[in-house]
Amino acid sequence: MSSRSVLPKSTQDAMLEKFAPVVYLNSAETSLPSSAEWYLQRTKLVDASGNVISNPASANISALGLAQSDYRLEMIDQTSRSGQGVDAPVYGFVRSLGDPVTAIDLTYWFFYPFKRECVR
Amino acid sequence: MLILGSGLAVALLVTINPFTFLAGSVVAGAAIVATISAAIDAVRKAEGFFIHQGDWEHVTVRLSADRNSILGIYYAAHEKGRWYMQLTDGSRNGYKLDGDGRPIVYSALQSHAAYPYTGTTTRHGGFGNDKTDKGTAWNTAGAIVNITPGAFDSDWLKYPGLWGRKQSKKIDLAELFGESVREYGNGPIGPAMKDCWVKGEPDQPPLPQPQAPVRIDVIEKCDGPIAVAEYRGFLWVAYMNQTPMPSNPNSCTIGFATFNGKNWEDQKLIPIVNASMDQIAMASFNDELHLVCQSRNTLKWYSLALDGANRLGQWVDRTNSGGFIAGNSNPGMATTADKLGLAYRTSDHRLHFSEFDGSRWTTGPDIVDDFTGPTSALGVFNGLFCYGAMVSVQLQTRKVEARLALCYIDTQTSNLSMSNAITMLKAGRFINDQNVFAFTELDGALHIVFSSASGVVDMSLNWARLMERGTELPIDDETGYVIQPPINVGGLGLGTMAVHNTLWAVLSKPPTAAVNGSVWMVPMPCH
Repeated sequence: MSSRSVLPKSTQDAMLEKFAPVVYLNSAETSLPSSAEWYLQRTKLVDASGNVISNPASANISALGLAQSDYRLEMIDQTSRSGQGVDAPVYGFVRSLGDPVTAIDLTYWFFYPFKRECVR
Repeated sequence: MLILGSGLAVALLVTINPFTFLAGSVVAGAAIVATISAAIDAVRKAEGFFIHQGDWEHVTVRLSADRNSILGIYYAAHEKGRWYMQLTDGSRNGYKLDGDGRPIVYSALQSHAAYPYTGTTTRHGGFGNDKTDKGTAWNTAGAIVNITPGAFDSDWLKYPGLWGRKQSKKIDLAELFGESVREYGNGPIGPAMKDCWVKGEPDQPPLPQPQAPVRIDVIEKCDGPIAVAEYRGFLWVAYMNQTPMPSNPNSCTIGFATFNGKNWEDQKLIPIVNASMDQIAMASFNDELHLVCQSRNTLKWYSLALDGANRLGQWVDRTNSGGFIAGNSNPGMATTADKLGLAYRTSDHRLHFSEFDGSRWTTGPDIVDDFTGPTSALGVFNGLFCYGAMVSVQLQTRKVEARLALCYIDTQTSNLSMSNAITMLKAGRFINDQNVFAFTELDGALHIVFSSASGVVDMSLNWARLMERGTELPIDDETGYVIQPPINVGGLGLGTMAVHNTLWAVLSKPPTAAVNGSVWMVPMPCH
């Protein structure tokens, strides 16, 4: 990413804050959002053979030199499915488009520990 | 993200009942249907099905370069998402903001797919619907963590693995219905590992769509098909009226109205004895307006030559002159630089094409075609006559859908088929006699206006264009616009014509108990 497309962090933060969304969960929702850290504290890092490598919350998981999909996180206790709650953070990403800039994308990432596609 | 397709049904069939392996015969068809139903019911009774640990969802707000206005909002839902526009018509196509200008996101029950509206979004034919409502608010203001590269250096963002357990290698129904294992999908990869992190969202938000200033102009007693033509700077609309003339109970009338780009002017009626409420066609050629309509089982040809600025000339019946070959039905007319073209069908349903050079009609050989749709139209693209038909296509899933096929009429080979089509557009459900379309050339592009119907909503009006004179580019279905605000077509006829460089779609709506038949004028968004 070239320097021209990087806005100062303070500008990014202000933009992300200004357009921070209001997310309405379904009134019957049982799988609430969480922070990434909350989830990492409740999972174990498992390799392709099923060996538990470490507790990801305490390990430097990016430094393991893992190839994509070689490793996975597994929930230690299924009660973590219910998530943290609506005090969870949202992760924002700012990207400038075009040169010269024609538009700016603000992407908001939401994390939920558990997902189910309803069949009822 | 787990994608559910028809493969699921197959997997269920194979696993749930070994007898279905043998059930290939027609006789066993009912058994297969019953088996599928039983399998779906069983899945519905299960606690859940497409489930996985870890769930990254997102929305993207696209701002103008000056950061002041929102160009569109992308709401991700399952394996894909879509852009929503600024609309205030209450439709599902608009994004939603709260009073502070913050995007409103509805997170679907359990799947957490993002939508700008509440209600049910049908997926997989009802098998995995998303449901949103205004439950607990997750107000993210003050809770944003900026993870833009350079602004954040957390370890987990660089983690390349899965955020949940891996998918079971085979789908085993015993395992599915057992209590032990319920997670089937792979956990997702993290945001920075996804394609969209690097490439951005797929596609672009659609261009700001015009909030079409739809004109609803009531034309008395317009209750049938219409045809449109541009003649002497006016948009002419010919419309059928079923009410017989007092003097002749066997007559229908065709009415004419002219539109100057702003207002309607003269309206006239001509009685046509024994006219049928069938397709009519109209085109201008050699400074005359030509009309072909069906009367009983033959086509009649009329022309109108105006005298100077006077728009009140007399229609002349020319059916018995110029070597006009009276076909039976489905006329379509269009004009090239030096020819008036007429496509029509005969009583054996064969398609024919005749050209008029100003003095004589010439009819080519029978055209072999495989278009069986109820409506047809003739247009001109790249100087060549182009025939269009709405056809029903049976998909492999046995579903029948409508396709709008357009192809050049090649009088040398006399062969028209869907495989020769210069474009095929999906038009949703096929509804006999109600899929309408029209096309016209403007500024080197072929503009196509057509109706399409989804499974749940009424027919809506769409616009697409075939670009680039001289080369035929297939139109991607996605390039078709649903005209905003949505207009329920459900009408009797559609025509398009450019007048004073604005392309209009003209739509006739049938009369109801409360409302007279009306003509809708919808400016297309190409100018």
